[in-house]
Amino acid sequence: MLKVESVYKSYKKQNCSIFSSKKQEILHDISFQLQCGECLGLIGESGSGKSTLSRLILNLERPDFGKITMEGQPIQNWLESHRGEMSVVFQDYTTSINPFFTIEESVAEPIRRSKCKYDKQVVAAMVLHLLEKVQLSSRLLMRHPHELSGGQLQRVCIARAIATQPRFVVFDEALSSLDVSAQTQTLLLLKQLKQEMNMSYLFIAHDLPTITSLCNKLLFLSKGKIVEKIEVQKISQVQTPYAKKLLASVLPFD
Amino acid sequence: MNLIEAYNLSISNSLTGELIVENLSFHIKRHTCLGIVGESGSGKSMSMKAILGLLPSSLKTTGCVRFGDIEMIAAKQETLRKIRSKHICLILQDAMTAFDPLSTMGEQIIETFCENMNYTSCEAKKVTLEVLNKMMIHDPLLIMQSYPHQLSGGMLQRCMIGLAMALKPEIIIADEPTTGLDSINQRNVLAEFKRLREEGMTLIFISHDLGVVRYLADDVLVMRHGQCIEYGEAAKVFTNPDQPYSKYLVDTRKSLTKVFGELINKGAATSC
Repeated sequence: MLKVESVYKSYKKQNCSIFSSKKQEILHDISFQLQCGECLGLIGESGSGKSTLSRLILNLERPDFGKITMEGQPIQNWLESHRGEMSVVFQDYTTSINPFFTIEESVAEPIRRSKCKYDKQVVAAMVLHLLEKVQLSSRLLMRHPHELSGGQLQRVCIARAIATQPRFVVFDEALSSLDVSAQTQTLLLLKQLKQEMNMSYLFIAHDLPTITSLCNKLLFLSKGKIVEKIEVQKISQVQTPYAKKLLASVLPFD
Repeated sequence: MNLIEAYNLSISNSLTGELIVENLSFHIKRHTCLGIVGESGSGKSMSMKAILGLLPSSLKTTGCVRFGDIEMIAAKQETLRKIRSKHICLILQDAMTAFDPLSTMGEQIIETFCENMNYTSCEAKKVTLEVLNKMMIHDPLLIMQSYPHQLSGGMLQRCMIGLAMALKPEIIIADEPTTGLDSINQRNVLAEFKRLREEGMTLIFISHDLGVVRYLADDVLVMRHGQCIEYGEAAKVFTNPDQPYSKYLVDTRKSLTKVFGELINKGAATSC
């Protein structure tokens, strides 16, 4: 479905004059594929280029070299012709939702903007159904984002992301800023939604336990390079020192 | 010997009369670590700020908190400021807003050392480099020249922890210090806290992650909606909690790592 072929990306170096041509390489020769219905986990420490990669896939930025294609088409063309079929949930829920919108307006916006024109009542019913799906009460509809807790707001973001029934969703550290109990709940929700709606996920995170309980395949990203690809079932057999280090950093809890 | 004793600490909003924290009592012995767990919004940070007199004036604090022979709630701002700089260090959750955005990291850290430890600026610079190296920061000189907005949250967090540790206070209150960090950095920072514990530092460690608290704490206080749900020895609370809510927290944490644990164990079994 999604194919990323030898992608490079670099940004101008910090603390240099604006005319300087010094560049810092963020992503180096990234290639991977994601099959339909698969859930791919991308793991790496902060600064390893995870978010940059997600921004490239969402076509918010262009790679310096390399190709990103979706079902054989370049990503920008695919996004234009398949509106509403790819969506994203970001880490920072407070800044990714319009503070002036009520929860209803936030969730309804992508539905209203989609190709199909719906009646007002239909949209309202759809919003209600979506909130039900993410286990939020309909009492929240008229509230504003600041009146919700972090876990609730992140669920609103998820409801908004699945509003147009996308086939592919990117989760960029979507659980990292939540409480452990909220993380567990959201994780169960994502598993369930995946089954119900047959979506493919790209799940970006920095901690292994969450990623292993959701994904089938794992990519380890370190300093802009993919150092190891492995199936989750075989995670205990990782080879590279970086992946081993990550594995060892998990706090046991039993 | 108890270093801090708190009795019936309550915080209320003086405008609406709403109770935010209700009758919290706890104590910390010297050289031990108290862990405070609870979901966000349960009043964990609020109570710590109340102890240090950092709450806005619209929130009213009542009760009694003793630090040595000082009564913290009734103490003057002047006294509290001295305690905050010399005796109790607070590591905040939000590292982004904890630093002055208008001066470089180096200037701020050196200033703090000169002010509180009576170092000359030359000594302070040396100590700063040492501290940053200890916190696994790759290029300390570059960091010292950077402004806070140029650094990532994890980096700032590590600077703040390093700074607090170097000030050698009697108590460090760490408010979700590992929350924004990735797991490798989290492990490094935790190892640093563990080392401090072994050196005899007294810690109050606030986190919503039971795994982290379990790794460090001797005693645990479970909070919910501003109330103390359970308070006792860490080993007991984590293995055999009395209250359903504590059990719920432990269970959700367990289910999060369950799949991972199984996969690892399975791998270990096949490789043997």
